[in-house]
Amino acid sequence: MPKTKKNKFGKILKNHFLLTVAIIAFYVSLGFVFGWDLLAGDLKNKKQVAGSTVSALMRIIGPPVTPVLSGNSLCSVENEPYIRLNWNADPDADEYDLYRNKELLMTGITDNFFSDPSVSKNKKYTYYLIARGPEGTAVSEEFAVTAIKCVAVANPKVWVEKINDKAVENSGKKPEIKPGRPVFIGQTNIAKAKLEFEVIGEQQTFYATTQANNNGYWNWVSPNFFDIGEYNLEMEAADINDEELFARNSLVFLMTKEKEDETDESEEEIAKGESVKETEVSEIEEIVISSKKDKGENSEEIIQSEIPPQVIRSEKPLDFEFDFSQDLQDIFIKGVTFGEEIFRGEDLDISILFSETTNDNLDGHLVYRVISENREILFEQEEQIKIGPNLKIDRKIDLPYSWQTGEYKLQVNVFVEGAAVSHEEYFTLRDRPLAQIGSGYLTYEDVAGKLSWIIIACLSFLFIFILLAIWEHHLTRRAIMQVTEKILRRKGFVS
Amino acid sequence: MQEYIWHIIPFLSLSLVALAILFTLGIIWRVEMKLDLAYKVFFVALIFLFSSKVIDFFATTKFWLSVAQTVDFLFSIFLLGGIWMMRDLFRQIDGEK
Repeated sequence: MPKTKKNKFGKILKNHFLLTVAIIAFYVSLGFVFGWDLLAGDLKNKKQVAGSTVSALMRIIGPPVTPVLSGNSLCSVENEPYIRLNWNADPDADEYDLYRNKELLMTGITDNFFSDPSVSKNKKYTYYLIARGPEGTAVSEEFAVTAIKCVAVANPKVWVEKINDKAVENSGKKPEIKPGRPVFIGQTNIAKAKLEFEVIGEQQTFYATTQANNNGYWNWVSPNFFDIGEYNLEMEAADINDEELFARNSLVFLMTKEKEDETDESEEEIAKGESVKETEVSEIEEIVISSKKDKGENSEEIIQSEIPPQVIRSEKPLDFEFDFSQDLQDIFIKGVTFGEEIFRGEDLDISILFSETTNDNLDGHLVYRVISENREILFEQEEQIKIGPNLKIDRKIDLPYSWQTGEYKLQVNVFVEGAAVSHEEYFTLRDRPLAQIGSGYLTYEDVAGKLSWIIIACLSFLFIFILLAIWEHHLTRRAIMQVTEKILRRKGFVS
Repeated sequence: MQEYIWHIIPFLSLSLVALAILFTLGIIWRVEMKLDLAYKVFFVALIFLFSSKVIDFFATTKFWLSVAQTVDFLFSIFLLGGIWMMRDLFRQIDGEK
């Protein structure tokens, strides 16, 4: 064989070898990352595809099979009804003609589904389909479906279910609770809604935010002490993705003395000859549930039937400007956002920023807490601060390694005389991973579970590396020998 | 699928750097003098790059992330050193003063 041909063959062989090695290495790394099931599935799919190609060649073209129509009515993103129809795919049919109420609706459909958006709510439509193929046609049976009524996004609602595990009654009676730090549990029909509260009392005003979960459940542990008196809780739940969608509600509740004390007090009062007045049924305000879309003096929608009975209704629009005299409402908490993941043993960074309009030289105190899913306060720290405009406070909370993984709530509260501001953010505590691949994590458990495969992958990688190193060294030695040979030949030592 | 690509790329990148190390080693074995030295510097730079990638892969704490960044910085220094040497060599070959 001539030398040039041999060289070319050698080159092709070498390139082929390198390509094969690279492909195998790539496949091995795929298995390492996604597990060997994925590779097995991939090979199986390839085999199936190859198999179906053969069977396609064997197929004898015949007349189309009678199509069977099915489908249902759905609602579009714009809340308009449409009818989605499906039928069995037939390789003997090239296209389909669809008829609605005996009239042609669409011709030349090549897919085995069709969406009909030109429908009216609560109206019944009858469809049938004609399959057309090179060997003939087939007509389906008639299929009837009624277009549903798509209700606009459910009227946004927010309400309080319980205060301190005590259900809020339907009677309209003001809920009475013991003085302390009440726990409010409620619901909204806006998933992951951002909730804002304003508690207006005789002595103090309190502003807070929290977030509902995917099911609209929310709980809010009041960070400050509520003394005896009447309070008005005003709440707003807003969709985090759509500012136009929100619900407002309010609830008047009483912080009263404990029953024993109440009895003593009544006895004293009786002794004094004074009559004990029952707590009057509160003047129930009406909830105004409205969306900003409809916002306007006359467009506010008062929904009589859907109002949770415990809440209070009012004709007047509620003011949610949170206009505190101390102007504390512009406190921003940075560093932790909803759903952020923190690994066990890591620090939780909190950054609190006071707005430009904050009054200067205010005496206040800062409280930050970490609250578990079952509302248990796991961490609490309090400090005195001098509040001023543009003040920035950075703090670190060292999360103990012993804390269980799960969802936690970080609550930051700033108290000044007569007012308080509270913000809550969720974060998820995760096990510290061993490695980070792209956006995913590889935990110790993952590694332990696939240790044998990881060792095989590493050894394969090392083997390929060593093999290539040997090959490279061999090429070098050969090149050096050729160079030496050339020099020796030039000098006449070798013929 | 896109998500999978981002999982594969770190491994692919690591393999390519390993291949680059190997070929650099081949050049070191072949050449002598200043070119050899320049490629030795490139070799060290590539070792640092490989190490930084491996550390970055396992770095889930701020400390290890900073270690990876430091090693990456060392790679940049050695890469610059190698290029500088090559530049000098070519200038010498061209007879620049």
